[in-house]
Amino acid sequence: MHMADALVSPPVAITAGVVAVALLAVASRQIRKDTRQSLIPLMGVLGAFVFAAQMINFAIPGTGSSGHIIGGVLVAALIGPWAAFLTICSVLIIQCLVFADGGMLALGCNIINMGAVSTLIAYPLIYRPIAGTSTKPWRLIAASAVACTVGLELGALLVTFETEASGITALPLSTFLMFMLPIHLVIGLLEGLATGAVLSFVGSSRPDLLLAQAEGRYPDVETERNKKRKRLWPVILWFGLGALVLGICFTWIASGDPDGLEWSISKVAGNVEMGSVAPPTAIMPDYENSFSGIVGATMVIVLLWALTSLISRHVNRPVPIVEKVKDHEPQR
Amino acid sequence: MSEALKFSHVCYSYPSAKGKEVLSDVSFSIGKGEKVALLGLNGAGKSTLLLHTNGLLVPTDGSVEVDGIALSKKTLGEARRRVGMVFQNADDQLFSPTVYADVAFGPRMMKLPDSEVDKSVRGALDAIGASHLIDRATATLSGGERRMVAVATVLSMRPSILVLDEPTSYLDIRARNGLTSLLEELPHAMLLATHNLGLAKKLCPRSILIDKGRIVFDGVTDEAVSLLEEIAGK
Amino acid sequence: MSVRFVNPVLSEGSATRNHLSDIDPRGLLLVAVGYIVVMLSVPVLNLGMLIWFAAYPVVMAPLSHIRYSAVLRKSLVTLPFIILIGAMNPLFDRRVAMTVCGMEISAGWISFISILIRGLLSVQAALLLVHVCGFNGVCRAMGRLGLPSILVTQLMMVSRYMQTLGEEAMTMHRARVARGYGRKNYPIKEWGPFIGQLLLRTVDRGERVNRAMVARGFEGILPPEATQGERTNAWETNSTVFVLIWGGVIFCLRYFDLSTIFFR
Repeated sequence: MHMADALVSPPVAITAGVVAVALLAVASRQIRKDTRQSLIPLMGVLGAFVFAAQMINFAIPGTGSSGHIIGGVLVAALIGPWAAFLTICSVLIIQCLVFADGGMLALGCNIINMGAVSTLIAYPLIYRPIAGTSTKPWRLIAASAVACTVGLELGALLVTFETEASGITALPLSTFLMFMLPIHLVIGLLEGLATGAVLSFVGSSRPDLLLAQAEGRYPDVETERNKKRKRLWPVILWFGLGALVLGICFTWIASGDPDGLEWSISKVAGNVEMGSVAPPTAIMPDYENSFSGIVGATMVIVLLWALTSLISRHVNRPVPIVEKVKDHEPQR
Repeated sequence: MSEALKFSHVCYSYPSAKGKEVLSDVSFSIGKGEKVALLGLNGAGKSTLLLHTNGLLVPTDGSVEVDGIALSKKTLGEARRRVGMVFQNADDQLFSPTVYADVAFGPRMMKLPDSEVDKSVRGALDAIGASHLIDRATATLSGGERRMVAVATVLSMRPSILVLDEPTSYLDIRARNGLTSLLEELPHAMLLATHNLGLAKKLCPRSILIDKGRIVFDGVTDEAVSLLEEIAGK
Repeated sequence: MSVRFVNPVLSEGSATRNHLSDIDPRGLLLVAVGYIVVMLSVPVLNLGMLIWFAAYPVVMAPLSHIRYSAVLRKSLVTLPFIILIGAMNPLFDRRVAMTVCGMEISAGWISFISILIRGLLSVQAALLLVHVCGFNGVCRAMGRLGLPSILVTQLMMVSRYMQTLGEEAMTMHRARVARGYGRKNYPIKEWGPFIGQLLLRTVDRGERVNRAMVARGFEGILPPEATQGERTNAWETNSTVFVLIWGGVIFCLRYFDLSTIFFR
């Protein structure tokens, strides 16, 4: 579900990025107001937990293959939507930068599709009402199954939408949807069952962890100063606003006019050809003769590669890339 | 001369288990520069006692004084600066990405200006002879280095007493010797909870022995150790 | 069972010095993001222009003391999904884009190759960025460019505890394998309690970390630089020069259609 840079266009990516940054700003304000003292370290280790949990795959019945969790609803059930949103964002950013999972430019899209949808929509609007303040296994499993399925379907819908709005793929919207939605229905169900299995274990051995979140009270080991109940966050309001902005932006992008960046570049570039993706009826942009150009450019790059690696081999002795820092060795 | 740490009639029971006291009527004091071992079997209440030294737990009855300052909500910040608490698992203690950041954490929380922070960090790392680790990522440190740096993270706050929970667990002999001689050299008062009787004998002339939440002995370490072995044999 | 995160795609290069170590991470981040944005804005069918953009990773790699072939190899790992989606283009877009020696090549194929190159180049730019600044350097740069400090702290804590918790998970996993009579994968019924156990340990660890923080004066809110390293190294001239040069190069690659100019 991680979107790669290859399939998004800058306008879509930047719009999504702006929305993601706005959500992040709201989330960090919410967390600053939060009275739970151990929240910051807890978020940190839970983010790391998501990675660790993803190492251990579960078997998908009847297929012989295996899957792992994304973790949005799971984390939200423990620490609440905004803190979970920030946690999942950090996971996505690390996946992007350290593991090359999802592109840097597509990060905004990924944060919305996977982070915001699961923690800010699926959790408060679906999981919470179904699970209530119960720790009964069947309720937790039902709640997470529905929440994760809806969350992943919505995410898949957004992926399709963003990809189509970018116009890099030639895949028609309907075909793409037919491809994405059924797959993510299955993935969502599995994610939900897995999440439910973990939550019902937590519910049976440490119900306090779930109830604290469910009832809006947080245990504070040190002072028990948080006697007052926390008011329900205006999640729905924020989400509504976000969705509205998103909707408007995407409609604007998808409206077919030369989109923002392309347009501004074409203004700057003047007569440079702008072969923006044309509808099938349009005349093909004139790249008829560009084969020589492609070959030439490739040759130049290969030459450049050879040259730079030759120079660097002479100038600096090759340094091992994955250099393990040795103990007791002063650095710098 | 005021004591570095003083417990007067401290009682504590966890809020969840009402009535059952984990600590009952614990009184002792540690003078400036004095090194004291805290001995006892698992579950005797050692860790609970340590958490009282800087107000991480608040006694249900009795009081705790650090450098003559009675612990209360108001004095908590100051008391925490004076008590350098080194936790059992260095991985919990070193939560920052780099050694510098972690050693600087305490001074930064004290809101010192950058130049002062820098000075305390270098001073603390210098004191443990680990200046060369300053730029290292915490995750790449060896077990022994982690313990040393964990000590530095509290030294940078210029505490008057160090409270250490099982400082030598999981260390090999070389790392253990290194840490022991470091602790020997440091001029700070120390309260050291440990199962390592050799360490206790080497480092601390005096020991406090607790059993089932009560102090059963407070005196010469050798005697405390033989008493502990007796309790363990029961 | 994948243990991928123990072996990140590229290890952090922060431990080794290279020609770019003195450049401010903000400068490197800006150039990398700018490069990706501009590169992706090249029309899909204009392959001739796109290929020139490979100059960036090809030149940056030796500057960061790493062979370009290594970067290329690492970036190939990310291809499968891109291929999956991109491979639809030749099926759906059969307009003729060019003729080579009398053979007609469809626009779908051109855009397919273009998508692959886009994917590779943007991944390579990200890999090189992390290789040069280290993950923490990138985080710090993002923080100083206005990312909320809570998120920066969060990123650093996650990267700090990833290894630790990963090892914990592996230990638990080994303990299970040792008694598992050769069963390798986890049915969900077993997986739930297993991960649940890991989760409870994680929560306990969070509490212990919190104690260690509180013991050193933490009161619930971290100042922006609280978990960051030293040296708020000021932006120096060489960073400006770096940004200007690459800015200029990237602009030229996009503004002038070099393929048309040189090879037509």
